[in-house]
Amino acid sequence: MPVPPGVLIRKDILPFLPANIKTLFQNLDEQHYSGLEEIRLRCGKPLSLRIGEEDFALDMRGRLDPHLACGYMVSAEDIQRAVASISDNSLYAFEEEIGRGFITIPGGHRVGLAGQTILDGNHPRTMKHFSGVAFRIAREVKGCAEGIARFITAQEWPPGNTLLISPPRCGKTTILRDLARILSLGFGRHRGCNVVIVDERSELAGTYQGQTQMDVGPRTDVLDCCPKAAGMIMAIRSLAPQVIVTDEIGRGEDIDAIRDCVNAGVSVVTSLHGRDIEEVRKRPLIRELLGSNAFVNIVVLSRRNGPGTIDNMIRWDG
Amino acid sequence: MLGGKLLGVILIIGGCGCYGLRSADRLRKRVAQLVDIRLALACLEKEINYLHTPLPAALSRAAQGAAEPARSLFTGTSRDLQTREGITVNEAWQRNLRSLGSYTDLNSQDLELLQIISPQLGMSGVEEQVKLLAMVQEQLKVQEGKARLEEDSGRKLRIYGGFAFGATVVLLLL
Repeated sequence: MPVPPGVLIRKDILPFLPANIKTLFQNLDEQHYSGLEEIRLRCGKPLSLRIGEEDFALDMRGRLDPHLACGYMVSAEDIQRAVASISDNSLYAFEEEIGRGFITIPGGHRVGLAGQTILDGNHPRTMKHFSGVAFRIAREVKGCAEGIARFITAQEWPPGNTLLISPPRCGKTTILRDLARILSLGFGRHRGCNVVIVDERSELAGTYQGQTQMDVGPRTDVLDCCPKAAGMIMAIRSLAPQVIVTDEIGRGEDIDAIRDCVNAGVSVVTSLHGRDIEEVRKRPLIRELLGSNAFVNIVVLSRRNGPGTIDNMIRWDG
Repeated sequence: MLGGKLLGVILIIGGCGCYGLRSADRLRKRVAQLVDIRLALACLEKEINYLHTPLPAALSRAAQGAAEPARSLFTGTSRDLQTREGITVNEAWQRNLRSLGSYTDLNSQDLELLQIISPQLGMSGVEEQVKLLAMVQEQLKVQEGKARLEEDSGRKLRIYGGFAFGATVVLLLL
């Protein structure tokens, strides 16, 4: 039975907020919690909540207000307390995560950080003087990918290479996670297959201290915080996957790694930022990849009827 | 009458002597406590530097081999941080440092030195944490040196001084 969003957020997110901000959340009702996607703390700015398509401020009495200026003003101390709490008062233990710009907390929720970046050569090593904290609430919607699973497995099992095209915040990560679970568990008359999730940003499996916080299926291995291209090659060499699931491809090395997977007979289920096929074909690397018929299924997502709306499902033949 | 006077003499000399002995013992204990705290901080530094252990667990492990008052300071801070009630390291450390109160033999300089760790503890990268802890350990070593000198020069003075002061008081009263 799914946990109500209010219970989930009170358990997973609110303990990490400073006590004075936590009390402001007491008046929120279940309806607001169910649509809550982000909580943003910015130093010297109003506390804002992203609920559905809109931003609301949370005022001093804990009431939602569409006028952000009316919100509770977040202080530097609030930010410091939130960062201390998220990092278990141990920033040194999270240097790698902070260098990537976020920390994953129990429950698989991602907390984005803003502040002064400290570089090691050209690469961000860590941050100091934090100025903003963004809690992104991870949601697990079991069964949300069943329609897509039915489409991509109609002709072959494991499914052929599948590409989800979606603008940001349209539920592609949630759908990819559920697809991994379905393929790992088995679907219809098909037995489950070995799935490897290459999770560069700990979003798909929401791994916290080595433990996946989301249900990604019984035959799924997770390469957490692993660059996509390197992860796909590692998985082929060592984990004997039938399907590799990864998120947000786009760089040249990702495309090369997908070709290696195709040559090794391993299916890839992945996603790409974009509104539709025409838009993504304007990118030379993607046009080349689609032209080589590397993908047999293409699914286009939107937010037209809420996150996860399927705009189009295509059998791709170039 | 004579018995009463004799008893009074014994009580005055004994009392002053005990005060001197206790005072001398505090000098010895201060050195030991400074060493204990420095060793516990060295252990904490290793936990942070080599294992990247989160602070509540690192403090708890560093406390395991330590004697009082280092153990109370470290375990108390660790326990407060584990309650997850939004308390910061600075607040937890200061609270536990204050609660050491009368059962520590550290002087105000030692306690001030320990206070400077807390605003930074846990709240920077490994390199900065190691530097911070190394600096505090160095300063504690200096305090240890001073405490040892004080012990060497002051111990006998306090022991004999206590009894001598008692005897002087008795002579004046007689």
